[in-house]
Amino acid sequence: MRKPILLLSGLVVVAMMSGATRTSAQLADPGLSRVSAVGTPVVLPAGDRRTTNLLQGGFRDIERIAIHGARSFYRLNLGSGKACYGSGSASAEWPLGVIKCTTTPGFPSPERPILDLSLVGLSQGDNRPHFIRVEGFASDGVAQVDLRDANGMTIMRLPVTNNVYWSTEPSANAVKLAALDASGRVLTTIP
Amino acid sequence: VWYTGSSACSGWNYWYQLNAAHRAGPGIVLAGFENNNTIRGHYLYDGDSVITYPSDWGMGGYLKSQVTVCSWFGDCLVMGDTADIWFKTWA
Repeated sequence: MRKPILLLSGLVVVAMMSGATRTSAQLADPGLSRVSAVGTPVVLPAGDRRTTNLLQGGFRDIERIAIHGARSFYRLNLGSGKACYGSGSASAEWPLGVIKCTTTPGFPSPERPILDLSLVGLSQGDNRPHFIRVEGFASDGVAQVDLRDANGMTIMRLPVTNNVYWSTEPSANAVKLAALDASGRVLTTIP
Repeated sequence: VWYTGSSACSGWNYWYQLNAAHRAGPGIVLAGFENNNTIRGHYLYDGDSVITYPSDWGMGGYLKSQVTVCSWFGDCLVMGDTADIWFKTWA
């Protein structure tokens, strides 16, 4: 009789752990796991060597989610609900400048509420990298993205529109990003 | 390589595309290109991959692909960190 009791105890522990996981997931805003913006199909330039590279990589279903200023924002669907995200110059013949893909924890999720596509750089004499161009995708549960200096002070606040945030001229002091929900709670920071 | 914590991942060339994937290591790296006085790139977390084109950054000419390892605290200054980064470039 002793072994079944031990087995039952083990099952109870497993059940309790599973319950705790579900409770944690239920507490997270479901909007953090969703990108509701709808896009329009995009056809990449035929014959371009970059198109060939992407097709060979399995990128076929590409949609433009938004255009903000001189930049366009894209979702690249890979099937089975998986997607990568990108951005690029809205006026360039080749539309994509960067494509980023995530694995577990993937975007969008409570662990990865934003997918940052920002250009980061530094020049000789700089003591740390800073943002040259800020842009990226935010899940539905993200209300704004703050640019912060090295001391964590907010120096610019970016709204999220069509699941996209952007700034073409961030301050040279902008070295961190913080994603916030509608209540002002910090969801994540980058880096 | 002129910045502490950086490693070159290719020789000099007229690169037009970079694919990079962060396979394991510290929480974040900066992957991109460098010339004699400038680094441009994108932050990657463990498990992230990126395809990017230096023409989108206003950065052309002779370049090296590079990766800079950053600490968990956001500065790319910590020596001794290592990361497994996969690179492929096209010229």
